[in-house]
Amino acid sequence: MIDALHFEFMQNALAAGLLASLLCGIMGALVSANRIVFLSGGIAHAAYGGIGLSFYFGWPFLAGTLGFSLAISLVMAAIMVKVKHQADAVIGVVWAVGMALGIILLDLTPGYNVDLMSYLFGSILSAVESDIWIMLAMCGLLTILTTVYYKELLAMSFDEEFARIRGVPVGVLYFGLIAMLSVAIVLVIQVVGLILVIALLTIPPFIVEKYAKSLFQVMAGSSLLGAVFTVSGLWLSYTFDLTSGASIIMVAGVVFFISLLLEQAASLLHRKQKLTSDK
Amino acid sequence: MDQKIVDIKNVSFSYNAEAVLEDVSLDIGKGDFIAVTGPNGGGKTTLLKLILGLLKPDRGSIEVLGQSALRAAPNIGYVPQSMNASASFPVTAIDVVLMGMLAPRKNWFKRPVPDRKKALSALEHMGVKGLGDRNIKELSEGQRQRVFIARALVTKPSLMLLDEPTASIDPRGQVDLYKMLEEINREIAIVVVSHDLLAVSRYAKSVVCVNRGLHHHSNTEVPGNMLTAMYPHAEDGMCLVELLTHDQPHQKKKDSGK
Repeated sequence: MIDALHFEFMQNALAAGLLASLLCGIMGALVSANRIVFLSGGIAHAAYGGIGLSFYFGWPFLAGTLGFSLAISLVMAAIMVKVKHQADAVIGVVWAVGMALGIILLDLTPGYNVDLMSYLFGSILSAVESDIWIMLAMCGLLTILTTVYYKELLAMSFDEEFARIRGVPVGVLYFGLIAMLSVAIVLVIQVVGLILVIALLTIPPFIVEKYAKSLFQVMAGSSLLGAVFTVSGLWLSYTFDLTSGASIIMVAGVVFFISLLLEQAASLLHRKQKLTSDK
Repeated sequence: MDQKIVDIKNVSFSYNAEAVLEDVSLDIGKGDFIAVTGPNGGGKTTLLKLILGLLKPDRGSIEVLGQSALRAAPNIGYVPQSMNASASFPVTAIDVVLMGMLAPRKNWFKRPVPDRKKALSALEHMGVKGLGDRNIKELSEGQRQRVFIARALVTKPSLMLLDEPTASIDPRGQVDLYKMLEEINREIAIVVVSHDLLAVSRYAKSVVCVNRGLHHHSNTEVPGNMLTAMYPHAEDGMCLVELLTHDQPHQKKKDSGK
């Protein structure tokens, strides 16, 4: 791995992976706390429609995709607020239609053949310096915003009604959260692909949440854990010549199942101890 | 002189086209301890949310401490039903109490400074001071309830609303809870929603029955006709008997004979 770092593409891949871990760690903690994993999946998939639009109309790629995702995610957030009981179904529709729109528009774009696989699994090894600078800027913005509004975000995630009673502007905060989420997702997808974004958003917070005492600990722990997954996944992919995104996800998946097993074992042990102490 | 905390005048509210409350009026004064009861879907929780300003009445007016409901909400302590948030949320007891002290920001770029001392003394008041640094998922249902009451009380409100606080607590804990509320009631008016009319009626000073309409009974005696009015299914004997014998077995014979 050390000698691999002599290659510039490997340095970039590592930097992109670490930044993606940080972005997904912070956002993932909030996504999990607000139970909007499904919405995140919807945003990530529907973003493909933005890619299709950008190519078809010849818009600048990043601006087109970001604008489209931002708009569609705010529509989905409004649906979450207005028709809560049907939100799942509607998000499923937006999820599918956004993706289909993207594929059809790319079909219609003359002379362009995009590889859907690279959107799904990304190409972290082809990350370039400009990607990294944009992600770094986003990390900075996200860190500042979550630090400044931490208390309000925490209160909203924990008990929205009570937060509202105490004068927390829950509506603005919620839409702000979704907007941040969609921007973060689009930026990270560009580099590491859609599947890896969802994995990094969900797996680390799920594991860390069991041991964390605060939302901040979930954010920090998830970022660290994501970084561990990314680095070891990249190492495996380099050593055994495997697809990088898939390797990172497999590492995360294995750790996820191990943590489940450990938890089961711990609760079993706990029960046994209780039984013997009761005797 | 009786000081009005909440003044509800001829309020109606409906979800979609379905009327939940119709032409409801109620005064809550200083020192009140009101038990709100009634059938499921009768509008008990809706009434609380109207007082909190989370819902707006279709008709009528609600004033809390002479202000609109939402504006006065920071002066109300609220203990929601069995927690909106999941018990597995990664947060410590003291952080939950600190959430009770949130207020609208004057400066959106300056972080509020938490007053941990106040939060700790609220926990102490509820007898769970030592649990401040524990994760709420490690607490028992009863301890968690106390933490949420501490969150409601930390701002020293003039009114506290509790929605089904005894729903998931064992009988012993319920008695403790009600005794605690009795104590709190010396300084703060209390409104508690409960199915368990008899348990709460020992502590409450008056009973309000909500079933689209609202009946305020100034003493806590439970007249039979009130029960049949609020629980029409009691006609077949089942609900009435169950309700009255739930906590006071010695009344069984008398009431089941009705």
